[in-house]
Amino acid sequence: MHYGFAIDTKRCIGCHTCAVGCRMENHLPKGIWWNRILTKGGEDMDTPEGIFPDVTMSYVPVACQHCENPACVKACPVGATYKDPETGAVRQDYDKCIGCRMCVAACPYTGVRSFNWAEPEYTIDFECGGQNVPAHQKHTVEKCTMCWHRLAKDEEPMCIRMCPERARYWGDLDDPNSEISKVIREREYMQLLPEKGTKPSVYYLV
Amino acid sequence: MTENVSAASTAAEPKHETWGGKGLNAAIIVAAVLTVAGIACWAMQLSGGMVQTGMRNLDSWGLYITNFMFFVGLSAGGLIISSVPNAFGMKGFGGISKVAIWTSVCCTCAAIGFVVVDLGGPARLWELFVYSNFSSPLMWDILVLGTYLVLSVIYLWAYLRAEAGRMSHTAIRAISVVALIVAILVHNVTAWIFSLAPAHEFWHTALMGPWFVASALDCGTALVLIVCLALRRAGYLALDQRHVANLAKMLAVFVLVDLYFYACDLLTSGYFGGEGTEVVAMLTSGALSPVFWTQVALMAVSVAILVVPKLRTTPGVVVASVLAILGVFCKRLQILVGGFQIPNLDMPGVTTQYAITNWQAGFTGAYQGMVYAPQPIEFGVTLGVLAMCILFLLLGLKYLPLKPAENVD
Amino acid sequence: MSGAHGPKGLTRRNFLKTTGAAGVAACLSAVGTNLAVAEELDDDERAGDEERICSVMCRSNCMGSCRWLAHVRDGKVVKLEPGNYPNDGYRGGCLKGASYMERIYSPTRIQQPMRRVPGSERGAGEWEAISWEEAIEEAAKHIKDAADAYGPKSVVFDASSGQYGYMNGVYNQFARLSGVMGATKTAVCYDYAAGYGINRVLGTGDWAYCNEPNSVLDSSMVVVWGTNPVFTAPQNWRWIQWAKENGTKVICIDPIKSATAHRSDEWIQVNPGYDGYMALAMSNYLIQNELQNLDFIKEKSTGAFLVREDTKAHLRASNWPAESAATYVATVSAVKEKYAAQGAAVLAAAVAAIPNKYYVWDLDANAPKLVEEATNPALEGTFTTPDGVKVTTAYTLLKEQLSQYTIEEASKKTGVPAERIEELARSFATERAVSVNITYGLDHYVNGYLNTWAVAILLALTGQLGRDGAGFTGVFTQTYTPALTSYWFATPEFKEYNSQVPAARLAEMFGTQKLEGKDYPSKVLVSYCSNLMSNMTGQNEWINKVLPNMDYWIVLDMEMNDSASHADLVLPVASWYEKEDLRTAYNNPYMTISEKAIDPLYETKSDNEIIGMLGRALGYEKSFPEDTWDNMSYWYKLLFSDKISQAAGYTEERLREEKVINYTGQEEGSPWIRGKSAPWPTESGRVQLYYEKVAPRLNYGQDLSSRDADEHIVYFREPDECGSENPLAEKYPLVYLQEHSRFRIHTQWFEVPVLRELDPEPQGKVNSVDAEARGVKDGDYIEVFNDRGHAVVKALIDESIAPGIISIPKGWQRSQFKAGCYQELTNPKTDKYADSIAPYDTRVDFKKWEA
Repeated sequence: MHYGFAIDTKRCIGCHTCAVGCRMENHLPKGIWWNRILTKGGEDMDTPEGIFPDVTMSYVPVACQHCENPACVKACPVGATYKDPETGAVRQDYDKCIGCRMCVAACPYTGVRSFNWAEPEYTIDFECGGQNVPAHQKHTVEKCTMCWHRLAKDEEPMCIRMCPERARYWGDLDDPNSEISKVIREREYMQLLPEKGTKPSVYYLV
Repeated sequence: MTENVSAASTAAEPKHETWGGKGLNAAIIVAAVLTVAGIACWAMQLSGGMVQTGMRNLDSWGLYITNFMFFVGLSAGGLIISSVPNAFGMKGFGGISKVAIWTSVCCTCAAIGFVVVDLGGPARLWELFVYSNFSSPLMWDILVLGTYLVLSVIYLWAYLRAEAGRMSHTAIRAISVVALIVAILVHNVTAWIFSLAPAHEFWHTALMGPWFVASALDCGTALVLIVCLALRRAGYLALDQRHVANLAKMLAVFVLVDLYFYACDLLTSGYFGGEGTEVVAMLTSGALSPVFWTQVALMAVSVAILVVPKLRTTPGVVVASVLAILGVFCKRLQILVGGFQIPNLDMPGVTTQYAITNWQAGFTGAYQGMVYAPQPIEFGVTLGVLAMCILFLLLGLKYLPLKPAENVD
Repeated sequence: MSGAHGPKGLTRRNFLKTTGAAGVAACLSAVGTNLAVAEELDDDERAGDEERICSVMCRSNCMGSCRWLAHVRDGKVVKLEPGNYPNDGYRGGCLKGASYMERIYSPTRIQQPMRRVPGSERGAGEWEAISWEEAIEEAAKHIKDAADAYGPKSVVFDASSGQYGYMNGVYNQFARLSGVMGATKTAVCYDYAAGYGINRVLGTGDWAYCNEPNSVLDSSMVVVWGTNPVFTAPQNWRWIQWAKENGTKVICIDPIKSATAHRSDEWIQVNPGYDGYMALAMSNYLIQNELQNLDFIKEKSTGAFLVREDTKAHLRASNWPAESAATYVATVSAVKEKYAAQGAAVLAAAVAAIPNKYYVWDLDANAPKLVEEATNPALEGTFTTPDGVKVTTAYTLLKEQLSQYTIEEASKKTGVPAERIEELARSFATERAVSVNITYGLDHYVNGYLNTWAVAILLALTGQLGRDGAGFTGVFTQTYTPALTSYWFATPEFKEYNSQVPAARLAEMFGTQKLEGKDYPSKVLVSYCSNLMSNMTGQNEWINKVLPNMDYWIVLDMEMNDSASHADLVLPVASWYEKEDLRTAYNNPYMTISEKAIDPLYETKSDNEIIGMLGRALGYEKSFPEDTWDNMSYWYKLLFSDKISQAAGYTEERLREEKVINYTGQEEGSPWIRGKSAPWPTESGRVQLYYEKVAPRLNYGQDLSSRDADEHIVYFREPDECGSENPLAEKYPLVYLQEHSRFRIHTQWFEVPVLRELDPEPQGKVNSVDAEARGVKDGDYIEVFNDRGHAVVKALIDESIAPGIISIPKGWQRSQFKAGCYQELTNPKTDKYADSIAPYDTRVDFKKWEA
């Protein structure tokens, strides 16, 4: 089994609902975003490239790419980030992480990992979001877990559930009959930084 | 220092009576106090969070790792300088070998110190030995650095044994060869921490290893020169100006090799266009250009001083050595910051207080100048580690028999 | 960074392009799989261990109404996820709905009743917490005192769209309180011009003019006109996107390249305020080129109806011939006598039911004939009846009126090339089915109702109405409403109340104690589901006229927004998920229960409970009986007490069991189409090319006699301020648009921490040309100003914004600005027919801010 994502950039409207859903489900501390919606356009969020009126803008939601050949896994000196052999999800063990940030430096996908630079603070200070979400720890690195706690219950990752535009697909890339395998077969797609050789498991349908 | 003094000291007797007096004790106390202050800063950093540093998710390493690279270089360089003569049976540097080795040991401790203060969870350091992931270049570096530290101490011990006539010169030579290999390895492995991951264009080059070795050689040589000349001035050891001149010429060659490697890398990166061109632009005309051109200028002046016989006086050599070390530091800074300065995904998105150092300027604004700038606490901790290194050095000079012995020279 | 290092974006970073085996067309099958019709909802399957799932409803004013599942653990809402619908296409809310937990557990939430410290200034932020007993007692005392001294109309209840729901929301029992007191209950003045203008053609009232969102799947072209669903209504855009994937052409008409324009097939850039002119010119062009839909005009519109030159009325049984008119008058008197006792509403309905047929000119008979009897009605021409009444067909009048609106002039005014306007006009005529997604952008000008009236006429002339995929979309409102009249007024104490006072005139009323020149003592204001001070245009009117002249202001809210922070008494209300409610949805076809997921936090109370307490404290125990007040079953019985509800089998039990009930009566998945699923609610059942009975939306004593005669046939009037030839353009060269962002709904969610990370502070979006001309760089603070006020915002250089426009996204509160407020700038004028605010009809300039 090899779970992956496909994101239809024609449908994505950059609304951040998946990102907010991710924050709430994983009870992320203030200032932490595992899933960020980047604007492909100008120099600020939601601005286009070009000169009025000839301007274009689209969005690229970026979270951990759950690479088949993850640079982070090789870089971690203690195996705190590792690839789950059953699902292909790249996971992070907060209890093991020594906070050296080798994985952050090794990952080519700018900003998908975040380090808890301070004691995590929450807007909602009781335990909320999904059940069995491991507690966030100061001075450890974290990132998208593919909603591991939800996979364990046969649920789709929260970003998939949240997307109001149905721009996100998730499923088994090894299964040729899965919906995701179908859209990847049928659509043109791009991947982030394929030249880095990480073999990302996220496909951007264009 | 004046020309007069240095010229005179070539023949002067070491001023034994002035060594190890109040000045040294005072220096030891100052270093100890600063070390304690640094540890206090570190405690603050750990309790209040590394949010107090300038490091953030998009520039996740900073001054500590810069210094780590820098001190690994200094230590490796020192050992290389001390072991090359022994390994190849060259004459003339024997007198400074022990000091150089001890300097290496101290610098290695500083390098390890800088890694430790950079860690989020130093209390989990033990995991490195329990859950070791041998595919990680950091793991390699920890192993090599550990080996290197142990080997340096053994080397020093062997040296002392040999001085006491209890060990053959062949054995010293054998140890020095091993030490040399490990010293080169240490620096190479440190380079691999940066260069093996594909993440950052600037780092991902095979030249990184040799280049780190070159930097180690030039700043190591420079450091040994400074320490030895200082110790000669302090009356701790005698050093023939001939050897100084030889070392100085070697330094010039190392600096030139370092610059040559840099030039090779820049040409290869920039020649064809593409991503490498961005790196070259960043260094030569972009956010890092002040640091880059400072390095080039420092090294150029350093080489000029070292190769022109008229300028190659003792103060000239000291100045050139300082310039070379500063140049290498500039290079370390470029390597570290430069890796983060060009984001692979340069599209703007949510930018919070944890995203990037100058997050308030927005995603684009944060990259306008140098993406990373250290915060006061980092200077505090850095000063502490530096003080610890100096403290060890001074303690060694005070309590260890590092003074040159004629029978080894 | 990108700017310094060549081209930006994915391509630079070498996305590997791989072409799928099958082309784009093949992927469209995926759409179908998304739209399954569910047998039943599987809510409980989604619950975690020791979790309870509650069916709740997001009910702000985005014109959506998304169902969410609230996961509850240990008496706390721990998670919200989108709830399922029988038609899966309606599943999915936005980031605001997703972050509602941060409003429930907001660190700044008002936790107990707060009284302004006596002697402190309004808005000074000095508060003391008091008990509910004290709060209600104090509120009741002020209300009573004002009513006693100045009459009950001096107590003004103001509601808005901050919360939909019959129990607690805008339709709550404050209506009953107003009714038993005989108070003033203001009429909302936001977004009403759109519906008012369209009503003149479709008779659909203020709101009911749109088809169901999924109807766009049947459209061959969708024109998103002056609205930005990508930001403001993602739940509607979803359907447009799916239609687009099926080959529907999507055109966006907007002054800026909005997020929607970016995702449309084509974008037509217009100057603000002239959309109506363009629609009229297009209509004229179509008629001139014989591209109008004559069949539709003849069969489905009032085009052939005759208009009397003397009275401007249609020639109808009530006025022609003389004997028929006399019979009609007699019938009306009889009906009035019979139904007078049953109240105004019943009476009006009875009068409306008296047959009053229309005449056309039958060319075969060369005489007026009733529509049903004519064999060859004339569509065009002026005729004289045998008794000498000069009549002209509505179509002829319209055609003559339209002839003044030329493509050339439209091009000049809108800035759109003439050929492009012609092409667009032709596509209205030739496309199989056109849906105009309209919402409210066009109506945010003083001439707003004329803009939407003109667009409706364009649709009527092209027959793009009342068919699958044709008509308006954007604000599909419920086709069923429960028995609100019984719900509110089933009490012997009911008197009456004044519902005709526009909220937009409150500043004048409180400032001068007069309305339209007549005394109107206004003393106490009670605001619920409303943030008047922040949403109303021309905020300094409010600050300078209302605050100093108001006796007492009671605000029910969850947060210290502009209104609450300037009130005298703030009553903390429970969040949506801390109380039960019923909502008939907008933009989906369902009635849903919103269950009480948790008890109200702190000392907050549901709106309904607060109203009950206040009603009793005012002495209306019979109308606000303590024993049944909090019994939801009592209210459901009243709400479902009418014949329609009972015929449909709506009951509390069914609602609790099914959670979601399709109220359209249509087959699941089959969209409700206005004019098809039910006849047009016009008097004639036809689309009106001529607006016979000119009436303003509200009647509050305004004198429109000088304008009435010109309001029968669609026309265009320049916008008040934003017009390109407006003399103010020299002093204030920029038109100020108050775009609605994706991060707030009006002013709601202004405080939500997670959204403030995405959108931290007020921005002024400007084109680089305007920024450079003023020496402003991206990220500089700028002061935006006009004669009415100022606001300091961060400049965002945004090439999606046309030169000559500045856009400040809506919803920020005064406390969030460095200085001033964006709402100080807006034009407070309204048109007295539509009485709807016109925030976009505003000119400003800006300069770099010196702190």
